Order: sequence, then C-alpha cells, then structure tokens
Amino acid sequence: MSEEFDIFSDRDSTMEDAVRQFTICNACRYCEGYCPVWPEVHSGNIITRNDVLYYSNLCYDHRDCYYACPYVPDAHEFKINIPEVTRKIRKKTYEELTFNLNSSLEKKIALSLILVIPIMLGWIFTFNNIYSPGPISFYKLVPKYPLIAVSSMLSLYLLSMLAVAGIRYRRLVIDGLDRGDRNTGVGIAGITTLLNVLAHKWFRKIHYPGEKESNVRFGFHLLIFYGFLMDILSTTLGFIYEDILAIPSPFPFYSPVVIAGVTGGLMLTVGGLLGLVARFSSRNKQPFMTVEGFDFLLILEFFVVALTGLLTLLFRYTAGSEEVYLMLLIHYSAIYTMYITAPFSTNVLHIIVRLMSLNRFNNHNIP
Amino acid sequence: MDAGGYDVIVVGAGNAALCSAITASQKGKKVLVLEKAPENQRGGNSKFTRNFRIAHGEGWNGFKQEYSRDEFLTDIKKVTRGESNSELTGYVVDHSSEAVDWASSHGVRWQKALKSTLHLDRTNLFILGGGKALLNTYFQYLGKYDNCRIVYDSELVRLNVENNTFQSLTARIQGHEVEIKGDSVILGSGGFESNLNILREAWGDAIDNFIIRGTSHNTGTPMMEMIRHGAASVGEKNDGHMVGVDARSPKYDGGIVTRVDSVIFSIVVNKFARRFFDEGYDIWPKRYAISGKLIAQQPDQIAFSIFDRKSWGLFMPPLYPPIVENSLEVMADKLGLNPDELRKTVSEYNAACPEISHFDFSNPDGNGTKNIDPAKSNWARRIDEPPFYAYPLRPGLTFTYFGLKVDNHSRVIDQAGKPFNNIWAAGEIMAGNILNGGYLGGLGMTIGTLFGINAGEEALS
Ligand SMILES: Cc1cc2nc3c(=O)[nH]c(=O)nc-3n(C[C@H](O)[C@H](O)[C@H](O)COP(=O)(O)OP(=O)(O)OC[C@H]3O[C@@H](n4cnc5c(N)ncnc54)[C@H](O)[C@@H]3O)c2cc1C
Repeated sequence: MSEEFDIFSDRDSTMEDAVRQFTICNACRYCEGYCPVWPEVHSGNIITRNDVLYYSNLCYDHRDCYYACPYVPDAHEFKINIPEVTRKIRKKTYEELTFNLNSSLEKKIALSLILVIPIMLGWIFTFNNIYSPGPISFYKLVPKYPLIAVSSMLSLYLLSMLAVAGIRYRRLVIDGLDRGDRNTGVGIAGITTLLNVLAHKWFRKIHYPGEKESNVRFGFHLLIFYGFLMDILSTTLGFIYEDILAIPSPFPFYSPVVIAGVTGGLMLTVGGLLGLVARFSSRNKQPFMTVEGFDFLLILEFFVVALTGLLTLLFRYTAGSEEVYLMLLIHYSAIYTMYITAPFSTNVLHIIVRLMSLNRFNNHNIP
Repeated sequence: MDAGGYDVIVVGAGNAALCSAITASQKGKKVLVLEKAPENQRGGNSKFTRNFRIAHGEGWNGFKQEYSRDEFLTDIKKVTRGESNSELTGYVVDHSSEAVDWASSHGVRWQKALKSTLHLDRTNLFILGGGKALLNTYFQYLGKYDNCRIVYDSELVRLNVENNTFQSLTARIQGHEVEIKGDSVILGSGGFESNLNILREAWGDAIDNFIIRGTSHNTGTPMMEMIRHGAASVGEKNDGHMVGVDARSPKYDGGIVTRVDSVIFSIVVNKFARRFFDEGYDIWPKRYAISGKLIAQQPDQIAFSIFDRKSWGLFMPPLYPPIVENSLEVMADKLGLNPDELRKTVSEYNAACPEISHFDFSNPDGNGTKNIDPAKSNWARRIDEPPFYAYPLRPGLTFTYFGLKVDNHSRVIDQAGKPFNNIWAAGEIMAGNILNGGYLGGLGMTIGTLFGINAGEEALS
C-alpha cells in the first residue's frame, strides 16, 4: 500500500472519509440493532477520529450494514461502505500498534524463518542424540530444558507484545473517548465480555463468505479458539504429569494429555482448513471489499502447526525414527515461526484490541 | 422478453409491489415484476423507510404499552381532519398487526425503537436495518419462485385498457419498447413525487428549489395512465409532505439522512434574514414535519437555521458539516444574507429572550420570547456566544397525496364509481384514500403491505 496513511492524524484521507461516513450513519441510525458498533455510534452527536478508531476495532465485519444501506458506492453518491473503511482502519491500527518494520508480510515471514531455522538446526546439532539407542523420544531432538526455556521465552515475548499493544491501544484510543465510562476493568461488564467471547456471541449469521448469511466464520473461529485452548491444556497437563506427578513421557494414547492434544489438534486442523477455504471463496463473492483481509497468515499458521503436530504423532506410531524427528523438527519450526511472526501478522492483535473494544462497549452499555 | 401469458403483472418493486408479487407467486401464478430502476437502485421509496405503524396490545412484539385501534383511528382522523375514506381507514387500523405478522413470516426482522425516535416506540415497529433490508428479504424470498420473473431497468410507459379491462402494457425494457400481455395488473409504482413536470404544474418554478427525498424513479406514469383511462383520483396535486432538509443535499435519493434537526435550537431566517415562524412551537419531530412547507412558501425556498456554541452537539447533526463562523457578519456574508439585517434580527430576538434558569429540550419548557413576532414559544435562548453555526435549509418533498381512488378490494375505480375489472393499485399510489393530508409516520408501509397482499390475492380470483 503506497497511499499515505496516518490514522492518528486528522488529515489522513481514509480517516476523513470514515468520519464523513459515520456522520451520515449517525444521521440515519437504521442499523442500530445489528451489532455493538451502532449503539456506540448513536450514543453521541459529533463523531471524532478517536470514535472512528474505536468503532472500527469493535467491528466484527458482519456486513449487515452494507447490505441494508441504500447509500453504498454502487448505488449512491454518498458512497457508504462501512465494512471496507473499518477494515482499512483496523489494518492500520494493528500496524500502528506493532513494530513498524515498514516491510511487507512476506519479508517478515522470511526474516523470522531465517531466524528460526538456524536456531533450530543449531540446537539439533549441539544437543541432539537422535541416533543414540533406545526408544523414540521427542527430547532426543531438542532436550527438555532448552525446549522449555525457549518456549517460555517465546510465550513471554508474545504476551508482552500483546500487552504493549493493549496498553498503546488504551492510551491512543480508549482513553480518548469522551463519552461515558472509561473504565476497562473487570466487574459485570468484564464478565459479560468474557462470556461473549466464550460463546462467540457476535459471530452468528454473518454475510461471509458470500452475501448469504452463514455460520461459517462462527464455526471455524470456534474450532480454532477451542482447539488452541485444548492444546494449551494438553501442554499444561503434560508439564504437570512429568514435573509434578513425575510420570515420564511418552504418554499412552488414552492419557488426558494425548486426548486433549489430539482433540485440539484436530479442531485446529479442521478449523484452519475451513477458515482457509472460506477465506479464498470469499474473495470474489463480495467485490465491494477492495482491501484484502489480513486473517490469512494467522489461520494458515494455526493450520500448519496443528497438522504437523498430528502428523508427528501419527508417524510416531507408524513410521521410522528419522521421519518422526524430521516431522517434529518441522512442527517445532512451525510453532516458533508462529510465535515470532505473531506480532507482525497483524491479525493476532485482534485478540487484545477486539477484546478491549468489546469490554469498553459492555462497560458503556451495561448499567 | 416473453411477450405474454402472464397471470399477473406487477408494476414496481417497492414494498407494496413485492407483497403483491409474493402473494401471487405463492399461488403458483405466472408473475412478472417490472421495475423501472436498475437493480442496484431497486425498491423505490420503501428502501428509505424504517418502521410500520400498527395497533397492538401490550407485550405484542415486545411493545411495553398498548396502542389501541381507537387511538390509531383518532390519530389518522386528527391529521386528515376526518376527510379520508372511512372504510379503508378502518380496514388498515383493524388489520395493521397482520402486516407485521406477514412481514415476519416472510423473514423480516425487527429492532427496538432507534435512539432518536423514542417518541415512536409505543406506536411503531422498527425494521432491523430499515426498508432496504426488508426488501432484500423479500427479493430473496421471491428468488425461490421460478414462476416469478423480475426485470429491472423496465419502465411501464403505456397501459392499454378497453372497457374497463386491462389488455396489455407497453414497457421500455433497457431502452427497447415491448408490449406485454397479462390477465391482470397490479400497480405498485408509488406516487409522482419525482416527476418535476407534474410538480411544476402545482408549484411553479419553485419546484427547482425543492429536494426530492426519495427515489428519482417515481414519476407516476402508471398513475397518470390510469387517469387517462378515466380512473377517479383522490387528494390534491399541489399538496405533499415536506420537511426541512439540508440545502446541500442531492436533488433525489437523499433519504432520511438529509433532514436537519437544529430548528428548535435555533432561529430560522429567510433570504432577507428575517424570521418567519415559531421555531419553538413543539418538539422537533412535529416541528420538523411542518418546517418544510413553511420554507417552501419563502422567497427562493431557502432558509437558514442559525444558532451558537451553546447548542452545538445537542442534536443529531445532519450529514453535512455546519457552516461555522466567529462573527455574525462573516456568517451573513457566507450565507448570502445582508449582514445588517441578520444582526438586527438576532439582536431583536436576543432582546425578546427570557432569563433562563432551567432548560429542557425533551419537552416544551415554556421559555418563550416576549413581544416579538413571530414568537419562539419554547427554548428561546440568546444567540450570543461565538462561534455561530448555520445550516442552509430547503423543502424536502417526501411524498404527494394525490393518487388513484380504489374500492375496498384495492381495485382502481373509474369516475363513475365502477371498478376496473382487472386493475389493482397498492401502496403510495393509493395511500391518499387514507392519508389525504398531514403525516403519520409508519402508515405508508402498513398500507402498502396490507393492500399489496390484498391485491395479490384478488388478482387471482
Ligand atoms: C425518506 C423517507 C422515509 C420514509 N419513512 C417511512 C417510514 O419509516 N414508514 C413508512 O411507513 N413510510 C415511510 N415513508 C413513506 C414510504 O416510503 C412510502 O409510503 C412507501 O415506501 C410506499 O411504498 P410503495 O411500494 O407504494 O412505493 P415505492 O416503494 O416508492 O415503490 C415504487 C416502485 O415503483 C417503481 N416504478 C415507478 N414508476 C414505474 C414505472 N413507470 N414502471 C415500472 N416501475 C415503476 C419504482 O422504481 C419503485 O420500485 C418514507 C418516505 C421517505 C421518502
């Protein structure tokens, strides 16, 4: 994207247009019952740049408002296209909240792969003893403590990235909203937000991937979301078994560790695949979206991580040791690539930014 | 284009027409829908609507309070001064809730009264997403019927009628004239509010300064064709519903967003910088509904709503930014007004304003001016704190009352009172039988749905 864009400046043309569009929406208000964005837009009279940043990051991209609007670009000189303009602003918000390397996503991925693979190979040559006698053990490829150390570091890195983005979002956007409650803490609103997220409240009946309302995004997001949680559960259980209960790995297939891991892996694989298919089939169906979505990388990464994890497990029971170790190496690389690119694959930030926006909405609307 | 053999031809693709088309299609009849607009602008004025007015009991569709048939009837009588067709009016009032039930059963969804429309939350049910969403639902529904065909960019230009019987019609379909035969025809083609030639007969050149709030496609040809064939009419051509809209709005199709709500917070002056009506007569929904006509009577049909810093942000701003200036003189220059006159009007008004202790914009607050004509009977607050704000206003025409006279079955009748055998009219084209003056929000959709369904059913029997 070459167009000059600075959403934190009033003079930015996309921002100017978004303020214009939302001002027209505020004079209409017919969409009020669709999603959380509209009651927020209608709760005041004068729309500011900060409001628009908030609305855009609260937007779930349902597109109900697009289909209901008599003022869409194709039909009217007012050229209202909220799903498109909010997507543009979301994208730029995320970019603003992450490292700004000023490079394309591909470059970022390549860069992190270049970083990850030598590290992985370095480990393997330094520490591994996969050719030593005895049964297959994952720790032969990368020994346990270096593995835990690196994983924790990467998790910490990711969490702090999210935290930094959250703090910046709060400072740049939420705190600047001058209407109603600014509290973003817990309480009834916080609990509501959590329940909304767990139940995927705002994901049903979305015009996605085509014009017709469907639950496709609800389905794949739910699978990825709970699949991921299952895998976290599996890893945690594994840690408890080994290091607290002192039950050594490998665990049998009926152990909760493996069951949770495999279930999570399957959910992620199916969810990821569904997400990718939906993502591609949505492309030509809604020509009004001139900006590409940016959820592709994240879905792909979840998919690859889950698939390679499942394959590793499968190989373990069916293939020779070299295949198992090779698959495991790929699996580790995929995981680390995901972690490292996460803050750049801008859609990861939706986790924190959407959550905070929804919480602000609940704070504002729950008495 | 198939030239004949239709059981029912429906003219138009707004709310009334689609209700007819669905009803006829459900019965397995061969139906043709002729829509003048191209597909991306389909749906007439119905696409700009937001609610239905219905009589209902407490608890029905989430209503917290009852709106009785008697009240509904009284409301209609009040605005029409008792001049409407009492049988048709009674029908609408008695059956209004069926319009909503029918819409619901065909997929339409509803929402709570919008934040700015709480005055209607007892009487009107709001469409989720507004009229275009409703129409999308109906179009999607119709798509399931192979026996129904919709053609866009297809304008009815001539109706061929003999012995009170419809024979065929001529349509201009994507530029080509075609004659199409059918057993019956239902006219759901709206009013003539976008036909400047007819409007000019009634309003003269003032019409050039009007803004037409709805579609540019409602030029009234089907209605005028029926008049040519001897149909009886209702209502007056020179009467219509008008509101004050932003003068910068597009000539057509601005819909709901062009209205300006600042009137009660301001003084409104004409091109000579003089006030000409009581801006604080009532709360804005009612005020706004008559300001259009008052502006239409001013020279050049232009007016300016002017207020100061104190009122900015208190009302829903319209789609365009206000004109903001730090001095009244510069403001006058910007608006093309005489600065001395404007200063004089504002200072006379300021001098007549009371000392105000308590201000309440949600109700008439009794803060009226003294010794000034015209008075501002409520919310009279001095305009003295810069910056000053202004919105230019023009009359925005919503619809016209003139239409075709129909019988109880929605059949068009001739001047002798005899019905045409196979010609029905539904929606705005016949709404004047019930609402022949004044305004009652949400009535148009209820009328269009009920008579649209009726026409669809009758056209088959
Ligand atoms: C801004 C605005 C807001 C409104 N809000 C409300 C509201 O909230 N509630 C309410 O009840 N009413 C409202 N109204 C009034 C309401 O729009 C009408 O009462 C109602 O839409 C009439 O429906 P209809 O189907 O008769 O006409 P329309 O919806 O206007 O449809 C007429 C159709 O006929 C077609 N047509 C016209 N001429 C020809 C021709 N020669 N050949 C073929 N096709 C033709 C048009 O293209 C169009 O598709 C509003 C009006 C406006 C302008």
